[in-house]
Formats: sequence, structure tokens, C-alpha cells
Amino acid sequence: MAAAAQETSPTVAIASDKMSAQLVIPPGYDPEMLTTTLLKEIIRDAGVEVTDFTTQALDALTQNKPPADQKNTIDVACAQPPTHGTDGSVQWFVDEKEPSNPGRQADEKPGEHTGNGAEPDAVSYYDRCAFMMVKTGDEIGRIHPALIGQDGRDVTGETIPAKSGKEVTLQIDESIMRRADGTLIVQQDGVLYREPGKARIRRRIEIKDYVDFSTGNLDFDGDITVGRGVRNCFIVKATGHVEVKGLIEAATIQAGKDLIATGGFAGREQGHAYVGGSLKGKYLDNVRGHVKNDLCMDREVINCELTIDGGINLPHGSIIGGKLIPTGEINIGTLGSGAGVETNLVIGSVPMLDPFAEKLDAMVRSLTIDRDKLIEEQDIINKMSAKGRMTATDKERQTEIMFELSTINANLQKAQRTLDSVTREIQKRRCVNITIHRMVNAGVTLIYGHLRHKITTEIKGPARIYLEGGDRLVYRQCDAPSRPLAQVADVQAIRQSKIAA
Amino acid sequence: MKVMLVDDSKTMRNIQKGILTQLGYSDLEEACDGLDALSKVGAFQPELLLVDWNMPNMDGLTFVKKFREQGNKAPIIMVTTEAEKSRVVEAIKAGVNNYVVKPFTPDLLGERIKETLSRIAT
Repeated sequence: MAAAAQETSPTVAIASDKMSAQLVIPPGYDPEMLTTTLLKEIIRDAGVEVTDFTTQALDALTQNKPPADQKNTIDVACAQPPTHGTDGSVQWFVDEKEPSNPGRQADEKPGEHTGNGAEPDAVSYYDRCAFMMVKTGDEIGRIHPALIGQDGRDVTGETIPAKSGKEVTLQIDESIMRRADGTLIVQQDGVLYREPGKARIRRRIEIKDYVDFSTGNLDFDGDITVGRGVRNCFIVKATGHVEVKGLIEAATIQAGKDLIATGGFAGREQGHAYVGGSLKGKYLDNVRGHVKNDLCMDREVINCELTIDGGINLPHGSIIGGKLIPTGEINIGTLGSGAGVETNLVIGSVPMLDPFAEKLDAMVRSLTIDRDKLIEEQDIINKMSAKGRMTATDKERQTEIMFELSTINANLQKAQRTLDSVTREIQKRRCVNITIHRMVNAGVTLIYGHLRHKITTEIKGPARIYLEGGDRLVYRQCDAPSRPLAQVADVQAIRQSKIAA
Repeated sequence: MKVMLVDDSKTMRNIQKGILTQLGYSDLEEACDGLDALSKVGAFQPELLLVDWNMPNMDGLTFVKKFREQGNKAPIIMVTTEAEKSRVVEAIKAGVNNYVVKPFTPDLLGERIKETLSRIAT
């Protein structure tokens, strides 16, 4: 009898994952027996937790009693699934921005894709730098902490545990600071280097391959090392050293310190080098520019136009063609070539100061001319005054002249003092000392002051060219006595020297 | 110190301005004749005046007399081409404190100014 009663009583079916439970009302069960209290007891007896959801479901059932002639199934319990935690993460702000364009003053070289080069918003691919340049104080990212999660509850009231998130680990050094809110702040200018789990700012860019469209132009506060070469038309600027292990093509290199062209520099008349330190390397071919310290090459310097504030050191190399203006000593293997290529060397000049001295000299001469004119006019008025023929207007003009003379004399004194000081400095720095190990070929021109010495007879090394008696160029081979350079050169005046040598 | 320059020649006023600026005087006012100067002294209240003699509308001597009649005691230096002794005496009687004859050098004008001011101070 009991078994027959169970078959006709409502039962509770719990899902295998305990995430839901259903009340099953068999067919033929008297609907009048369906009361909330009774049903709750049945549900509790089945081990299901009675919640608001259960009560609402049972209230709905009792209000709208189902037909008795069929089996009815009602959801009476629903589990609360757990909310799992999320892992910590690093949000990089730098990835959300446009790639940096440090070469903003880049020459206007045509980009590859821009159909019409005249479009004002055309993009230059030379300028699109692949490196993330950052400055002190920049906010480059944020570390988001891991979230713990919230446990769930199944229909029987048991806890369903939530999984916790894992904290992210990011290794940084003193170049990046992490604020309490997780923001990452740059502590020094440089380039951002990121690896999985690590980030730092370095004051050095290392390019394994070429400087080309993959890197864009570079403008960096630090050192740059290029593993291979620098392609045509690209610009590399650094406040520190620049080292290029491969060939520099027709590019522009601007280094605040040394430039090391290990693979040589083939400028093809478009190459430029502006070096705050020394320029060293294998060879230079058709390069223009300025070197603040020394020029040191292993091999040739061909058809270059360079101003060098230091000396030239090519003991095994040659200078062929072009025009070099060094300030310091020259130590060279060969000058010129057997083919008589025109090679110009301006010696005894101080390119940093000579133009300034020339301007001062011009200023002094101009002021002197003005002064002399005023004195002449003054003399005329004085003569008239001596004859008693000075009018009131003349007296006023006389006053004007006195005032102007006073001003001119003051300016003249200042300009002359400065000119004297600059001239003394030029004298101190001027150096004419050329050591030749192999040969000075015919066709080489040495420009000293206002004289051009074009070598007509080759001078075999080892030899030295220097000044004797303060202003005469001489040469000396081995232990032989010195001889005037004019003996082997055609000497011509080129311009009146304004500054005394 | 406030200085007023009274001269019909712009060039002369510029020269005097230049000299005074070199001497460190920067608060300057200009007038092109005696009438112009009289209209400006009330507002400007100069503490030193450099006055030319021969000017249109109102000459320097007339201006000096009227300036003194108004009770103004600021020192006046006459800067003029008039060099005759009788003229100098006339100017001093009118109330001029010192006299500079054109042509003058910047140094001379500077000396006269210092001399005038130190006399007034004592």
C-alpha cells in the first residue's frame, strides 16, 4: 500500500550537477492537495533548499493548479553559480596610441604608398619609427590586480567554490616606477623594451638588422647601435654614440658623440655626417658634413667635403678628391691619387673661428670708415668755426657728430677687442703639421691662408709638411733638410687674407 | 628722476635722450617748444629740464620765466647755441640754473647735469 501511495505523490528530481531541481506531480494527483506548505515539506525532505525562488514557484503552482490528468513538472530550485575570479593583467597605454614619429623634422622624402606625393596628409614611411620612445613622467601602462571571485550555492545549499584569479608578475627596474594604483610611470627618457613578464626603459637602441622602412627614421636621446646598415635616405639622430656595423648608404647620420662606421659610409653625394665627437670607421665615399673631434679611417676618404675641428688620422689610408678642412694635425698614408685627382686640403685654418673673425674684421673696417667720414665732416665745421662762419645749424650738427662719434668709438673699441681675442685664439689653435707615410701625389692642393699650393711633383714618404719661420710651408723627407714646398708646387694667391696668419 | 627735454629739433632731443639714458635716466618727456612744454609740466612734474633757447611759438627764455612764475623750482639747464655773455646773464636772471653751449660732447652734458643737481642738493 505504501508503494502505491508513493507513485501517486509529488516527488522532487534533482539534476545530476545539483544546479536545478524539479517538482514532479504525477497524473491523477488531486490538485486540491497541492498546498505550499505540503510541497515545501516534500522539497525539504528531498534535501533541496527552499529559497525565494521555490516559494514563488510554489505560489504560482497553487494559484494556477495544473490539470490532474497529466504529469506536471515545475522548476522549484535553481542554483547560484559561482563567479570565478579573473587573472591580473597589464594594460599598455602605449599600444593604444599611434606609433611614435620621432623623425618629425625628417626631410620630405616620398613615402612608398601615398599615391599622390602632393597630398598634405601624406604619410612618410621614413618617419614611422618602430620603437616606442618615451619620456620621463610618461604613463605607459597600468597593472590590473587579480579578482578573487564569488562562491556559488547548489540547490541542496552546498557551496560551489569559485576559482581565484592569479596576480600578474611584471619585472621592472629603476627605469619604471609602479604607483600604488598600479600605474607604470617612466623614470628616464629612452626606448621601452618589453618581454613577457619584463619591461624596462633603455637609453640605447639596438637594431639587429638595417635602419630601413621597418624601423623608420630614428631620433633618440641616447646611443644607437645598428647591426647591419643604414639604407638610402634614412636619418639617424642620436644624442650619444652611433655605431653602424654594416654599410651606411646615402643617409644622414647625426651623432652627439662618436660615429663609428665600421662597414664604411658610401654617401653617393647624398650622405651627410654631423658628428659631435670623432668619426671613425672603414672608409668614407662622397660624404658631406662636420666632425667636432677627429677623423679616423682605416682606408680611403674619397670625394668628401668635411670640416673637422680636430685632426685627421689615416696612417694606412688615402685622401682622394674632395675638400677637407681640418684644424689639427694630419697623419696620412697617401694624399691624392696617381691619376692626379683634384684633392683639396685647407690647412692652418680654424673653421670654428675663422668666419667669426672675418665678420668682426668687416665690422671694424665698416665702423672705421663711418668714423673717418664723421671726423672729416667735423673738421670742415671746425674750419668754418675758426673763420667765425659757424651757424646755429652747424653747431647742432657738430653736437650730433660728437654724439655719433662717441657711439662709434665705443662700438669700435669693443669690436677690435673681440677681434684681437679671437685672432689670438686662432693663432693658438692653428696647426700645420702633415705627416705622410707613403706619398703626396701631384694634383693635391694645399690651401694655406691666401695661398694655393698645387703639388706638381710627387713627394715620396715618409715626409712631413709644416710651417717654417711662422708662415712658410716647407716639406721634409726622412732626414733630408727641409725645402720650400714651392719647389714642388705651383703657388698662387687666391684672396687677400684679412686675418694675419 | 623725471626729466623734460624742450627743443624744436627732434635730432637734438634724440641725442639728449641717448645721453640721459646712458646716464641712467629713463623717465623722460619731450616738448617741441615753450608752449608745448607749459602744457605738459603740470601733468609730468619734471624734476629737471633741458631747454633750448631759439624755438618757435614760445622761446626758451619766455618759457623759463613763465615756468618760474608758476612757482616751479625744478632745476633748468639751458642747452643752446647762444654763447654771448649778456645772453647767459639774461638766462640766469630768468631762473636758469646752468648753461651748456652747442656743440657739446655727451660727457660735457653729463657733467653739467651732475653739477646742477649737486648744487641744488647743497
